[in-house]
Parts: sequence; C-alpha cells; structure tokens
Amino acid sequence: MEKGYASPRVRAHLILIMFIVVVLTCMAQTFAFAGMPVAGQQATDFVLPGLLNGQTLSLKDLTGKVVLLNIWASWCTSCKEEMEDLMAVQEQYGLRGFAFVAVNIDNAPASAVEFMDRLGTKMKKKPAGILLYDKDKLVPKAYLQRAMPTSYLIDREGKFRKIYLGSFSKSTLAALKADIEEALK
Amino acid sequence: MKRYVIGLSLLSLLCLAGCAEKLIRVQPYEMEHFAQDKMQFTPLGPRTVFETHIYSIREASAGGLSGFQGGCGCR
Repeated sequence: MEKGYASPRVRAHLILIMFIVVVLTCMAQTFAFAGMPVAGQQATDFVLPGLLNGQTLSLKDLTGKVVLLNIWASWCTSCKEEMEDLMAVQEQYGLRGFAFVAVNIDNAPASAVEFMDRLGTKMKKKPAGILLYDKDKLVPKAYLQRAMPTSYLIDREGKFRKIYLGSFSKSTLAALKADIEEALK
Repeated sequence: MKRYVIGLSLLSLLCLAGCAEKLIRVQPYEMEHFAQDKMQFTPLGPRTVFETHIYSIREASAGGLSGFQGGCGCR
C-alpha cells in the first residue's frame, strides 16, 4: 500500500459513513416538517379561554364557519404587524360565515392584552375576531407549528384547507382573501 | 492516512451539525425568551442605530461600516 493512502477496506467504510451523513443531511428538512397537518385533514379540537375574558371556546363551536386560525405572540414582531390586516379580513367576511380566531401563546397574557388595547385605540374600535389565550401552547404543539406566525384556514367541516407559514404581506393577503372566498362558496 | 481520516471526520461533523440544526431545534413557539431585547448580540440595540447613523454621517459615506466602500467618501 502506498504511504498516505487508506486501505480499500477503510476507504469503503469511510465512503459508507459519508453516504449516511449526506443522506441524513438531505432528509433533515423532511424530518423537521414531518407530521405537519395537510389540507383535507381534520383539525384537532381544542378548548381555550378568551384573552380578554375568561369565556372558553372550542373549535367545535365554530363548526359551520370558515375559520382562519392565527397563532401569534406579542414578542413576535411580524405577528403584530399583520394583526390589523387580519382583523380587517374579519370585518369584510364576518357576516358571511367567517371567523378569525387569534390564539395568543405568550407565557403571560399581560403584554398581549396591552397590544390589543393599543391596537383598539389605533383602530378606534374593538379588535375584531375571537381572541383566545393558550398558555400551555397546546394548539402549536397539536398542529406542529413550524413558523411564527402560522395561520390555518379551516373549512366549514373543520378540515384544514390551507396552511400559511409566516406573516401575510399585502400580496399574500390578496391570495388569502381569494382562498376565503373559495371556502365560503 | 491520518490527515485523510481527520479531514473526513471534520467534514462529517460539519454535515452532522447541519442535521442537528434542523432536527434538534427550539420550536418557533418556544422562542419567547430568545425574542427578548437582552438576547440581542448588542445590549444597546436602539443606541447602536443612532451610533451607526452618526458614524455614517461622520464618514461622509453611506455604508461606511461595511467592507465595501470603506467610508472614505470617495464613492
């Protein structure tokens, strides 16, 4: 064997290890997003208290309505930026059987309540939609949330219709409205 | 041979680091503490914005902090 070179057996082992490492690396993304809900799948039910009051609400209570479930937090800047737009969507489609449900996942609700108060003052009206509080992060865990914020469009039968990772921009908001229109038909 | 093995091991570790970042990670909904101001690289976030602004003006060149256009004002 020439000096400085591995024997064929060692080389074969190293190549095998490298192959396994490459396969694992390539599949990492798949593992990370595995188990995420898909369109057509029944949305897991939950019962949560309100953010501004203690009144509890479950997803089942909204059966028959098209629901936009938005998971947000007061420490998430982009969540706060899109909130006003999503409330405008609620105002636009609310009377047609649409419900915007904002689930807050802060460790303590104080800053979320404060944000909603400020938003109400800015909009000069009560924040639209159903505001829930999920201290134990049951919804993000059940729905395997992989981005902050994430919104789930749920149809009248309680099945996922579309999942939106990240916040909405002006252009994606137009796409959301088109999806809601489609779901309301 | 030794160098060959060390090189491959380092490369493997590098690839595995990529796996770890994706597989074992803090979930997005668990990042409340990471989002706090005190977790920023600089503890003086808002002050840094002003300092950068002043630095840019003093250097008479936009982008004076970057490697590109070193702040000589000779764009």
